Amino acid sequence: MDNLLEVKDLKIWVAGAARPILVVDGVDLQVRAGSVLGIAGESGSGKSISAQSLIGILGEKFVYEGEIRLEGRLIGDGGEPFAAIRGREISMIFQDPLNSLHPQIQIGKQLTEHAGRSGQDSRKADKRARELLREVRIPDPDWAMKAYPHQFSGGMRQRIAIAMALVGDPKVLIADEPTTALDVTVQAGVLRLIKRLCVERDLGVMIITHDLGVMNAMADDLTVMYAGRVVESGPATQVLQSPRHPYTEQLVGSLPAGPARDGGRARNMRAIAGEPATPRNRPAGCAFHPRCPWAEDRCAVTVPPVEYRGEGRRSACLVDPFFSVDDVRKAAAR
Amino acid sequence: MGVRSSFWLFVIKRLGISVFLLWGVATIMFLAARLVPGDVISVMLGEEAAADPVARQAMIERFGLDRPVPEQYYLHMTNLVQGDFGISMRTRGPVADELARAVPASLELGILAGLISAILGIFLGTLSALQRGKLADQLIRVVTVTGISVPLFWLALVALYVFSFKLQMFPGIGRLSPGVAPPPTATGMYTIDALLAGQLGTFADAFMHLLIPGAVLAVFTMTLITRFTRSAVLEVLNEDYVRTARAKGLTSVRILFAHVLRAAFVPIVTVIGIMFGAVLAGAVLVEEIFNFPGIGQMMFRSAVFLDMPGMIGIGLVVAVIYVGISFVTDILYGVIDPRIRVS
Repeated sequence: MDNLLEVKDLKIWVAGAARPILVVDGVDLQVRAGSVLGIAGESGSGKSISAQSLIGILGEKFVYEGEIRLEGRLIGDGGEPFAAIRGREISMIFQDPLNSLHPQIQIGKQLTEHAGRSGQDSRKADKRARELLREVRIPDPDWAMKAYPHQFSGGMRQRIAIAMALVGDPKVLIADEPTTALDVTVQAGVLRLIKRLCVERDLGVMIITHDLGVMNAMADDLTVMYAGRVVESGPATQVLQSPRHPYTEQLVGSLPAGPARDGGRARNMRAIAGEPATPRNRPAGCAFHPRCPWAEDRCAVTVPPVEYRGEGRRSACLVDPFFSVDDVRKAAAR
Repeated sequence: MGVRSSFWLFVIKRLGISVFLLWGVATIMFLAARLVPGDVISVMLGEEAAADPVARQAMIERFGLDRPVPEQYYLHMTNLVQGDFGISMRTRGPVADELARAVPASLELGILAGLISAILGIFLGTLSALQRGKLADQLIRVVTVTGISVPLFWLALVALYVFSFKLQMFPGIGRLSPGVAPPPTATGMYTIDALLAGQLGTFADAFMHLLIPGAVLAVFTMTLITRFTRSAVLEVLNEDYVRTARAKGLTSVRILFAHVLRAAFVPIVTVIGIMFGAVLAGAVLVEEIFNFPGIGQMMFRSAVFLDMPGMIGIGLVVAVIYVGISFVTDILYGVIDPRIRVS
């Protein structure tokens, strides 16, 4: 299967007081058309920064290195400028719909002001905006075009933000914590909408969240990040059901009623011991080793490489405590 | 319910509040005038005549001071509503006539100073925010600190000395050069009247007379507007919706004008409204130094002469200007920020 968006060895530095701090360290990501890639991790794991770097909106304080390819074409440094990509081929929606729409501009205006570039006249843009509002299930598009963001609920505003992201007919949609700020009751609706758009429009979706429940419902592929590095990636159901990395395992274990490895039997919630590592004080070796129950001496010295674990799965753990002979047999049988 | 009709409701409500405010100010001034220590009659009659009880009594009856206070209040207010501000003790003419000459002159000067300070202030403040920490920002900050620290009267004198006396680039004091006849009165503002009458030479002369005092008057407010604009723009630049605008692929020019400045305008408009008060206060010194016959000079002279009707007249005019500005700012809020007019 061809990758729509492919990121190789992404490194991001942020200007620090003394010297630049490496906040994202060698991240690889692949987004396929018509499927959802989930990126999971705690706050400070570098997932949002990685996503924002893909459309070049991080600002002057950040410097990135690595290869970003859209349908094989290099974008960003040394390739097509981000300005030509964002909103057109890669769109993004953000966490807090209450603040991500301009409070003083009518919805219609916000939905059409970036359409002019594709050579449409304003009436066409207007018509298209109404269609998009209908597509994201905003009840009264004609009224909505003239209304202001504060006249909508959080869920409705996120739907409007999604419509806004679709104006340029993008190939990739990046959703940064799209439901975290919403009531639980409306979260499902917004997620279903994203999933439906993904399928109907053959859109490559990248969804960033710390909520594994969302991942379980949404993601086809899953990448787990910790302290700016990828610790595990693979098909979402497999990663969630049989994690290969201790961090993923603990993350799944911290879910109240998550997809447990033992077949979903009720368990006690477990908190992950210790404090999450931040890029500012990333432990040497494997960044997770101070919190890891399986850690050995070598984990504090060597940074584990991201290694192939069969069936499109990868994980970065020297110990690999969840290695099982069954997995090997299954892989061999294929 | 349409957004439009709720907007007019909002305008009418604010208008009602403004009228109420003016009534309050007029009442307080009436009461304050009765509370001022000193014998008004003695001041008006002079020491010799005040010793004569018959003259005293005549004066008291003439001004209705023997009537009960509520009745005096009623007369005072009805006179005000009819535009009668009384007779000036300094010029011996109606206060209303002097105000009719002074107010347009000050308005002309104040509007020019306001325009200079708003345009320059918003421009410099925005530039400063966008270049945060860089050379342009540092320079602008030095200029604003200087602008706030320098006393206005000193600046006025230096400007007069340098530009009018040494460089001879601008005419000196007054509203027009000697020998230039004032344009026919329409608004009382010489520049506008000259334009209306098609007298371009008179317009140029009047405008040149405005420029130096206007610029001096603008310095202080300009520096404050610059600082407020800088912090307002910096705050908006951090907002999520600016990131959204960037993610949509808008050009940075469009983001700056359509999104950032639009949001930053709410605090900036507030400051500009308040700053107009500072312009009026500064006008007292500047108008006196440039011998510019506006309300600042009238205020100064009325105070020196203890001219009570004159001071009450000016007080009311200043109140009208303040209330008018806050009315306009409130309406502008509504225009700029839809959340205010709907809630």
